[in-house]
Amino acid sequence: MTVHTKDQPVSLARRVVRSRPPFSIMVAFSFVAAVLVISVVGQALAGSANIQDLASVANPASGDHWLGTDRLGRDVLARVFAGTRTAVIGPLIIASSGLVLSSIFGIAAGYIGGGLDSTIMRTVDFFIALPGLLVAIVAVSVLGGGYGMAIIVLSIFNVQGDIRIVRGAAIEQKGLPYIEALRSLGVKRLRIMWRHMLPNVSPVLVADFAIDFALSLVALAGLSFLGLGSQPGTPEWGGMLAVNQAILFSNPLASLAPGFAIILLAVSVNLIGDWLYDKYTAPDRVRN
Amino acid sequence: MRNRNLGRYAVRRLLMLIPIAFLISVVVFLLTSLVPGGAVAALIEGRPTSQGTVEALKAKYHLDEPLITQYWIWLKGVLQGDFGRSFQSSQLVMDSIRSRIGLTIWLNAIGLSIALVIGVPLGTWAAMRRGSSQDRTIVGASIFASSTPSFVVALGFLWLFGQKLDWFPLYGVGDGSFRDQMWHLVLPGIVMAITPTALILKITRASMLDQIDQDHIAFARARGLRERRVIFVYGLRNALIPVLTAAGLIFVGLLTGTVFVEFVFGLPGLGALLVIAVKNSDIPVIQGLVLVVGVWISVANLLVDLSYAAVDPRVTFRKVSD
Repeated sequence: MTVHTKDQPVSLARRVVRSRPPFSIMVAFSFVAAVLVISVVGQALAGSANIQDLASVANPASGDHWLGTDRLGRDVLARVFAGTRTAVIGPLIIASSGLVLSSIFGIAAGYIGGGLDSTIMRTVDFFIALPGLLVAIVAVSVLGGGYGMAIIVLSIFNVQGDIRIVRGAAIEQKGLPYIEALRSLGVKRLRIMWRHMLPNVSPVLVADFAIDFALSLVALAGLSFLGLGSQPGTPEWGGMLAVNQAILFSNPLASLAPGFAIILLAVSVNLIGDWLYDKYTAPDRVRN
Repeated sequence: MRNRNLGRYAVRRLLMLIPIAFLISVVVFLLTSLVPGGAVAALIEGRPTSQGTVEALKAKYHLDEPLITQYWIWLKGVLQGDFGRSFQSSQLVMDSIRSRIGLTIWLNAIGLSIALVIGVPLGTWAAMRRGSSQDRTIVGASIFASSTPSFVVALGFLWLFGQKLDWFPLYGVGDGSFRDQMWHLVLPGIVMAITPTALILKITRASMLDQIDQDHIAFARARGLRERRVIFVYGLRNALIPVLTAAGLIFVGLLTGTVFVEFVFGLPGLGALLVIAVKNSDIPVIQGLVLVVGVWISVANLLVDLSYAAVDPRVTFRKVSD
């Protein structure tokens, strides 16, 4: 945060400029928007992801194939575009469930406190000590269930950190005068939590949503990279990365391009999340 | 008084390992029965079999006994270091783990060292120049690093440093000499370090910023102490406590990274073993590895808690009194 406070009154023009997000955040927003658009109209832009051209296998980038072709002669760009859908859906589910569950458990733990709080927090501590991605790897391989199972396991692990953060925000709110005023007016506990506290912790929830999205994007891609998660043959960024490692030296873009797509989307979403978090909460506080 | 508290705390913490170990062992044992179709399905893996074979398998692995008896037999074996044999290679699970664990420990140690050597100074530097362009660059880079999956970097490095520039060996662990082995671990070690470096940097910066505003720092400055002494002796020493708190998180991150890094670089460690076992649904190997990871994390957390207690006396006081 580099806002310098000066003594003279701030002009309206400057206030408008100040409220505009920094350049990097605008770029991040544009990239996320582009990915969302491509996930809908990608096929129209780059053609089908499954057309094979066995005459041009593992070719480097050219005018016909901007990112070259993979081992089966499929256009890498078309597959990267087609992969946007899987890339977006899984993380959206995980982040949404994190949003809902953490607002319920986080606010309940923070506001009600007592035995409920310590039960919830002991559970959170337990899960946070475990390597979620490794558990997901083992669960998918032992229980089966592929992508769906991966999403379930990662959702369970993902929500724990959120609960801790939302609880912190709820405790902070609890000490504020407006809550005390509501209580002295005899407003029901549930109503205080739902109608008054939730809106006030929502900035934290939104920031958490973004960070969850980025983390689970990387985690799901990692599972597919190991050959778990999505079905073989599905255009999925992590899976492409792994399969195309075999042609890393003839067409490096075949595996590096989906890799960059993962990084750019994760960085964009993370930047947005960090920006929202800093904007609405005290700056420079350590998360977790 | 303080030492007594610390000792009592250590004993309590050690005793807590017993239920944790029990819990881990139950989870690991139950893994086999979680396979759809049970342990027999895991053993035959869809191959056509006769009823006789199934019966023989059941008898061999004691699957016809009640679950408690099965657990007891299994536990007795595990306590003697017997995890059974891999379904895939028929090798003793304990042998594969023993021969591979060294590499994984080295890889984790290298990754952690790099992360500390880079993360702490950069975080301190950024905090001291808060708001400057250097600070923003460092913070931006750390956001970038923390969102970058290790397997993408691993492939990128493999292509750039291994193939294009030809600075480092591509795959494997080399000819067996210690020097060559370490040389082969440089690139994987750097990849391992990326995410934890970002985490350590972020925490160091934040807690250093906290420290700079503290009264004792202002006092040290007012007394005319050298800025370097103020920062390193009074600031950084306190700023590193939050890093210690996050150490559990860092260990878990490193462990996850190992799986991908070993897989990409073709290193025969525990991570690569897990990938192979998982692809083949090789339950005994998975069991052994889950146990190792469970113990690994419990011990790491124990060490973290104890060193935290040693650094910050308030911990033992609070935890003993409640």
